[in-house]
Amino acid sequence: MKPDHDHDQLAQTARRLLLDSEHALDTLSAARLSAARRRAVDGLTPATRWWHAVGRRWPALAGAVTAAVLIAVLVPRAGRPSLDANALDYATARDAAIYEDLEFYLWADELDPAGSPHSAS
Amino acid sequence: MPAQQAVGVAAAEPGRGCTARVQARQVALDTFLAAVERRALRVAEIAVGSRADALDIVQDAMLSLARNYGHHDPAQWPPLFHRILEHRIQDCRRGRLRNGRYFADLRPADGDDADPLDNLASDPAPGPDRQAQGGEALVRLEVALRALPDRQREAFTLRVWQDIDVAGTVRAMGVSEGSVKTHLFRALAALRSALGEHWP
Repeated sequence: MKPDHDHDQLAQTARRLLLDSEHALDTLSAARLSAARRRAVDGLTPATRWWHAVGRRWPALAGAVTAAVLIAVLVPRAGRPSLDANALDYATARDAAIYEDLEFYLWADELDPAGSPHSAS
Repeated sequence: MPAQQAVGVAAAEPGRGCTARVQARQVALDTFLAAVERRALRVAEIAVGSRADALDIVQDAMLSLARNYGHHDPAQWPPLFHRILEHRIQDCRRGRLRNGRYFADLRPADGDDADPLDNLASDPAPGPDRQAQGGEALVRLEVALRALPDRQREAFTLRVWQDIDVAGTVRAMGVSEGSVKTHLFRALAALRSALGEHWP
C-alpha cells in the first residue's frame, strides 16, 4: 500500500473518530464550558483609544520624558572637559601652536634666566 | 448568526453608540466561542491527558482572546484562538515536567523492572465514559497523539481534525508551508507506526 494512500485513510478515520468524540461531552463539562464562555464574553471591553492609555499611564510617560531630558542635558556635559577646573589643560590641549614652538621657549628660558617671568619675581 | 455578520450589522449603523457596538462584539464572540469550545476542549484534553486541566486551559484561552483580541477583526479570531490555546497547552505540559508529575506517574513499584515507557503508553486512564464514547480505537489514537511532538500534533490537529487548508494552518502555526507539510507527514507516519497496520 502506498504511504500517501495509507495516510489518507488514517487521517479520514482519525478525523471521524475525533469529530464524534466532540459531541460526547458530559453535562458538567458542558456547563463549565458555558460558564467560561460567559465570563470571557462579559470581560470583553471596548477598544481602548490612545488618549485612554495616556490617561492611565501618565506617571510612566512623565517619568520617561523626564529621564530623556536629563540624559539629553547631562550626557553631553559629562563628555566635555570642564573649563573651570582644568582651564590650562583645556587651553593647551586646544592650542597646538604651543607644542610646535615648545623647544624654542625652553631654549630661550635656559639662555636668559633673568628674562624669565619666574626668575624676575 | 456568524461572528462576522454580528459585527457587520453593528458597523453598518454608525448612529449606534459604543455600548451597542460592544454588545454586537459580545454576540459575535459568544457565537465564535460556542462554535469552537468543544473542539478546543478535546484538543487540550488529548494534549494534556486531563479533562480538569483541559477545562482550565480552554477557559484561560477564552479570557485571553476576549481581553486582548476581542476588538480585532472576527476573521482573525480562529488563528489567534488556536495560538493562545497551543501556548496554554505547552505551558501546562512544561509545568508538569517541571513539577515532576510525569516522573511520579512513571515511577515503578518496588522491584519492578518494567520499562517506564510501557507505562506511559498505557497511562492515559481513559475511564469508563471515554471507553464508551469512542471505544478502543479512539483511546489508542489519543495516546498516540499525546506522544507526538508539539508541532506535529498541532499540524495534525489543524490539517486533519479541523480540516483547515494549508494557508490557514501556516497562519495559525506561524511557520512556512513546507514546514506544515513536513510536520503533518511525520505526524501521520508516527501515528501509523504507533497504531499499527490494522488500526482501527
